[in-house]
Amino acid sequence: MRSRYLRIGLALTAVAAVAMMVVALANSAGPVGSGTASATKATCGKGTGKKATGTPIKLGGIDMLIPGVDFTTIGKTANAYFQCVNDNGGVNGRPIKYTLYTEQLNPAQEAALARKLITSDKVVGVVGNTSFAECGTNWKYYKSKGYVVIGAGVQAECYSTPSFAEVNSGPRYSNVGAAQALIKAGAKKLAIASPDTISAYADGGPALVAKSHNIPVKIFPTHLPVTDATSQLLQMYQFAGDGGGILIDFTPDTAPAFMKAAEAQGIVDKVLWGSSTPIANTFMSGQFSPTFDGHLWIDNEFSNVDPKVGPDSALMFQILQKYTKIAPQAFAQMGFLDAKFAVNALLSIKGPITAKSYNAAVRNLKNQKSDILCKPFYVGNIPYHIPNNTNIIVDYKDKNVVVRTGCTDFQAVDKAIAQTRKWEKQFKLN
Amino acid sequence: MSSLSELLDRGTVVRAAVAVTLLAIAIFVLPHIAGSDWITTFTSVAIYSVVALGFGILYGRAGMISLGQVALLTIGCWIGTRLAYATGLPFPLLLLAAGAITCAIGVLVGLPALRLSGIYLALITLMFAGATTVVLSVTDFPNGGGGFKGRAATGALTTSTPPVRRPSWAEGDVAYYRYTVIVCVLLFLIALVHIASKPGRAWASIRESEPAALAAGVNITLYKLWAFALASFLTGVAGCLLAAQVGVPRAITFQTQDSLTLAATALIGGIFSLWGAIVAGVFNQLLPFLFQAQWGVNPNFLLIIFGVGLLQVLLTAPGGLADQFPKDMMNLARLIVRGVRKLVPVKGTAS
Amino acid sequence: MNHVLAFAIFGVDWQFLKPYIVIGLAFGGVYALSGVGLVVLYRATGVLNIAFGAIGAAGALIAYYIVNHTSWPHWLAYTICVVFGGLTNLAYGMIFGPAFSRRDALVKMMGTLGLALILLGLMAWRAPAGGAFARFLPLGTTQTRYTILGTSVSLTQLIALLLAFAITATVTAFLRFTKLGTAMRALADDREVTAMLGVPVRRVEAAAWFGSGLACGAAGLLLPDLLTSLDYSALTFLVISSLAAALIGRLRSLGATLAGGLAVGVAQAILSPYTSVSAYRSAAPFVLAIVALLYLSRHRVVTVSRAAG
Repeated sequence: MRSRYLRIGLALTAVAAVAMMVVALANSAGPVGSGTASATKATCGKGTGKKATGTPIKLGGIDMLIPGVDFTTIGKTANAYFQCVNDNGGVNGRPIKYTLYTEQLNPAQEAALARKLITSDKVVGVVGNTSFAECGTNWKYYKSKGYVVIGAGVQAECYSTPSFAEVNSGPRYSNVGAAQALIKAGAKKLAIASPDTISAYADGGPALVAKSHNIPVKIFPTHLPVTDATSQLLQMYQFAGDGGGILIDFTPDTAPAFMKAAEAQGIVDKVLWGSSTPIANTFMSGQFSPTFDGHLWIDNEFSNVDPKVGPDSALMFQILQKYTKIAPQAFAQMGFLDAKFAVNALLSIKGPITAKSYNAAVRNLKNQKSDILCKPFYVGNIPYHIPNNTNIIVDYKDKNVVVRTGCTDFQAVDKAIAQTRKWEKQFKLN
Repeated sequence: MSSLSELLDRGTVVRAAVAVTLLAIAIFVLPHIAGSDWITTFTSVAIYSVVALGFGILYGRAGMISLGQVALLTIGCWIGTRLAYATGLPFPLLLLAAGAITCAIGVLVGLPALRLSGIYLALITLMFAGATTVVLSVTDFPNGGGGFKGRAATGALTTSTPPVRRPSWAEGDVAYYRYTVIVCVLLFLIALVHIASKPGRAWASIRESEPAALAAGVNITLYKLWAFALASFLTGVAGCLLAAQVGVPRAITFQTQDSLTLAATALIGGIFSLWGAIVAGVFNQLLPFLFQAQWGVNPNFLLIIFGVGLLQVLLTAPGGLADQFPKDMMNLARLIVRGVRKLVPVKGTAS
Repeated sequence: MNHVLAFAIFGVDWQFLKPYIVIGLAFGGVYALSGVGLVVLYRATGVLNIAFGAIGAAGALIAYYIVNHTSWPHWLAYTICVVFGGLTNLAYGMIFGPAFSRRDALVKMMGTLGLALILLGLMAWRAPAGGAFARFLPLGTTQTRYTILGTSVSLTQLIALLLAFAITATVTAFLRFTKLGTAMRALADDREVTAMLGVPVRRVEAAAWFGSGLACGAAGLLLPDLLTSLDYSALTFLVISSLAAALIGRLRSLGATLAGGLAVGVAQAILSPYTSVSAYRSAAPFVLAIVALLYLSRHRVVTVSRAAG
């Protein structure tokens, strides 16, 4: 009797497990970008078309991977670029070997992985890092070893230490861009919401911008996961008032809660909606267009995800298609740029490629142009790096993302931005 | 039940010798054969072993389950960070202060919860963990600023904040690892002294049967609070060690569910033995490193392993790995001996 | 007169709080539904199943896959989600229930923690999160909206509330008045004695696990819509907040759990307008649960646990 029930139970468990495993959910990434790739004018590395042989050049990266957030898309795209370079002559005939580690938002693990890359795997450079906490954990270690990491950042330490040069602007400055745009569009008050763990940093920037224009501003730190978006939204609307600005700084798994609540409460067209970059993609526009058409001022740190934008964008589409199963998206743009600039640094080295020479080359990076960025990327020998400080503003239209305003500098109300602009002029960085 | 005289019996001496040998290897040999990535991981293994030890004292010894130990670790980390920036106290005093304040908080939290037990105690501690996570994600960790919260608005910082300081002679990875191991050993010794003397016996009797303990004249309230106090002190000190190891602690890295995974790994390691706490630390901190960096296995498998391990421990091996592994080894040894005896008949007996 | 009443609560305008109370009741349905499901399971099987959220999330993921990657009708996807909840609970109960039957409630709960971790690991492995996209499982009923006291509420939110009420009423009556229900209560209380009394223990257990599993699946189907996104990690650990509602009901009274869930929802929502505490309002479920537990245990002196460990 007992064994019969046990068998039934096991069978049911097996059914449940199989149902889950068979369901191939792993590849339900967002929609593939539209448009065919234009004639490739950009190349991977030297573009020789010949496979690189020879001693591999070792690079490494650390990306965060937790149930709920997966930054490894960035590292995987970077790896795809490296593979393309390897198929095109490599760096002086040598292929690049990229090791990508994942970390689960555990600082001790982040520290261990950085040490493994540098002392055990002996990589000459670290590139492609993105995490909620790694910049803070490892900046001092990277500095002590003389490494400069090209990656994409979220935390303050990614933009306030010498160890990181990020290709993106980060939430603070992306919010600054959105806030400026909202104020220019006529918002008389500004309500800002970010995840509470980064709110002080991320919302400080736009608050400064608002204050410089004498516009009342109120910050709403939001605990994730959001359960009561509606009540917070009503509060924000109450503060901003009709014609006011509501600035939300969330990723596509949280922002919809506020956007759908706005739809439900009928306030979409009563306020001006601003946002940082994460919702500037066709997945979100597919969901929220046409309701939000014309009502959004999204600060986009990169160009539209479209191969027609330019040769780098076209190359990115090609690389993604050839070497990965990743759909074109902002994370892919970050990984592409990380890898491109790392390779440019490698190609600029005259002598032997060592950790010292690579990182010196990284520090010497200047005027690195790309159609994915508004202004050229640079690193420079400066105490901190905010190279991406000019963004575009986009909106939704007919289920697509369209450009509202072209490249606009961030207002230099923030001391860090003001200082960065001075350095750019002084050292002719871009 | 053990007393000082029983401690000195042969089995204990052997165990102590093994412990000292392993400790010597950990401090003197490991840094030479393992790279700094391993050493960093071992440091956090030591720290989380202490946290598991606190959990084990509460649950394994005194029968009180706390699903909020990582919340206490976070609090200890916060206090250590704040004091490190605000004062010039030497590092050992920082540890003591963090431990003492966390101890006070643990007692304050434990006091009203004393009447609860079993599932209700587990749930109230989980609720405490949840509330702490929310408060901390708004407040975040100090970073050298002023005021009670000690967190300067980062916009004002144009250069980076120094990380939480370490003892002046233990700044580097290896030195700090050694320092941490020594402190953790001291913490384990403190726990051992408690277990081997009166509080340990009181806890054992409370765990067996509260009414009987009460009838026997054991001051239940006092000893329960003592268990909370000890566990909180240990966890607080561990938190301060963690603050200096991490350097820039951030609220986002401490989640409510970490208390649950800690409970799972503590149970898997074994709550009835001090060795179990070390095994728990290994599961909690070393395994993820091995999976990621050494074997290239998807880290999500760890969750599955923890879940399966937890079920196994609860059903068949309540003493966890620390209890089961020696037994399994003994069984294996017996099997081998029997096998050998069968193959090699003893001289003089019929084959 | 209205103005006098207006200042009755916290010295703040009652009119001002009205929309938040409505919102709080509406999304309190989330906590109420999950909390009631948890307590139903607990009362029928003696197990506080903290894999509740994970099982629901897994069912929702399967429904998501069916809706987005096959051409099967949506109602089939939803049905599969609910039935998946029932089957998974049943499987767990049949395999592990008897093994845990002699242990105390705490150990039984820790066992379900194991299940939750396994499910979360499986989901994270097979359905990794992306950066540029999120998963949604919108239900058709969300399109229908009603304006209550000036605030827009969706039909789905009302269904969640009504479902919580319906489950509370039906299960309370079922457990009290039917033979099977009484057998379930006896089983949850003492399996050995119940078996000795000739109750078909295995069958009753199976019914209990499956039935309460259906509630789990139903909550799993509704939650992604109510929270807008299908974030299985968040859904798995949302059970901790739902536990708050269950604790307010002392893990016994379904009615109190229902009320507790609504109270938690309202408390969280009405803290929104008060700037000084608004950022901390997500702690409302936890704080309320702690207060409830402490208040309810104020008379206890010693505790007797059935089996040590």
